[in-house]
Amino acid sequence: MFQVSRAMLQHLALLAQIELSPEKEENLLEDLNHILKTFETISRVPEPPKWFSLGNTPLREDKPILEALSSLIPADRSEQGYVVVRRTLEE
Amino acid sequence: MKIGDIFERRQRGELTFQSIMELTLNNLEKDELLHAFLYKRPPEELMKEAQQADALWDQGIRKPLQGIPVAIKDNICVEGLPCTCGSKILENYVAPYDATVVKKLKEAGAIIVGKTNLDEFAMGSSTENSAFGPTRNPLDTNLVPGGSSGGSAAAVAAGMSLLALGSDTGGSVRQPAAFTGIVGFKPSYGAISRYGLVAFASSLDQIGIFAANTMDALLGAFVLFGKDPMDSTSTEIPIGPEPSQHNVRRIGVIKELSSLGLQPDVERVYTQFLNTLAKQYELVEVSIPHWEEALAAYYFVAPAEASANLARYDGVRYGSTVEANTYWQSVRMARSLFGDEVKRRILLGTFALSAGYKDAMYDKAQALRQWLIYEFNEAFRTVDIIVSPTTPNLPFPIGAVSDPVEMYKCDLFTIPANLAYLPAISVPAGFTGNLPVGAQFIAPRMQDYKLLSFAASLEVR
Repeated sequence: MFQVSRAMLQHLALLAQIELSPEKEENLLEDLNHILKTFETISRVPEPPKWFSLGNTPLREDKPILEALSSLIPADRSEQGYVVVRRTLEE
Repeated sequence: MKIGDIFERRQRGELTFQSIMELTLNNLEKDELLHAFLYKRPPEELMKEAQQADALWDQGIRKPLQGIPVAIKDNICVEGLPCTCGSKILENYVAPYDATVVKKLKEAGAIIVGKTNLDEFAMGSSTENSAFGPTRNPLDTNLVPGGSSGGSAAAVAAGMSLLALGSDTGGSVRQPAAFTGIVGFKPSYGAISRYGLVAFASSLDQIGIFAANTMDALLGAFVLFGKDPMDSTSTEIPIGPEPSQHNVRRIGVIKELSSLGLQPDVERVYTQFLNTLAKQYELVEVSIPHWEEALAAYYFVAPAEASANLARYDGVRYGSTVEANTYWQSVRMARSLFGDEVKRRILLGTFALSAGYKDAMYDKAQALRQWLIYEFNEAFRTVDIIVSPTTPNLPFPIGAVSDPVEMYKCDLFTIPANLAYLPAISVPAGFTGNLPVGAQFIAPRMQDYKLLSFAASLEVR
């Protein structure tokens, strides 16, 4: 049921920004289809019961922790509150 | 020697923290063969810290892990030390801050010995996927120590540290603990802060503890548990005094395991272990019908999350920068530094999340996860704790398993606890020849103290 074609693998590699040599492509195609065939059992899982709720993991208050974040930026990489990163070239 | 015994003997003047560190440094010579560490701190620094621990003790200052050598898996940040995640892409990365667990260990007086080897980005079950070479099992150096936290397991098993931290996404603490004959504890999801742990699969990752015995693991849990404002998934989970081992009377034995292909030697030792347990506890058969499919669910959920978490390694935000003519060429060349297993999982995860397939794979895997939570909940209505073997197999020779699916099956018994957010521990169940077999206990969520104190009570007997 689950099958990755060569064209699909090339598309996935593009999405994931991973370069594949023809040899690696061949190996990965074989491995991925072997893995997917083994784990096809997942498609038989019925709808789960409706009771489910994580519920007991309380979330912290939704506000930024600016003090903690700013302490992570070394002074020589901070400029007007922004993090200075390497210059990069765009296509 | 248990950590508690070290403190008693220190109090009686029978040893010093410097003598413990000397012993550790002697044992660290074995690392030339074992390759448990990717980075070891200089001996003079370690001896200086041991000397300071002795001086503080003599001044009457007592800390819960004072002078205790601890090893840290190399996907957890220690300020000023490398954090490579076993990957070429982070080969030159030095952590600029301490993970919360490291901060807590330092405050508790522990001495960080070094950073331990792992499967690249914690993806593997043998520590063979490290870009810097495999770790060997101290019990037999031709064999793997398990993974992905194989370096931390080997460090404790060979006496190169008294405690070690690992990360457990699908069994990466419990399986290597079983393969090296020590204790490996994965807490309830949220019990220990993950701030400073390099993310692999965020809904499954937990930091876990390796120790030579359960009392030491319990001591580590006392130090490390607690809600952390820097990790919004962390939560306050009590580590004592109730419920405790006294609340364990009925132990659940999983019905479905008999059909899951246990190696005969593992089955024999496990059966003997159950017979011993039966003398003290009532063993009750329980059913987790979706146990076997948990492996399939894991291999869609974890790679899907990994494909998102590892998108940041582009040579700009994180990872070694590779010079190229264009930005995208540079990104692709940087990401080509990932090893084969990491690439395989990123592509599998990208596939599981892609349009037209997500419903059939990722969503089904999440449904199975809900089934597992439901089934564990039902089982815990009739039993206090559940037992299983930790692994279906014994430690295998380095290089012996090349089929990825066969490697994934090493985690067949450990994955369900991660998917269901439950605490679990692997303890030594016995030996077959010179090879150890681990038994795993799983407790209801947030009953970590019951689990640890129960496992510790078995050692006393």
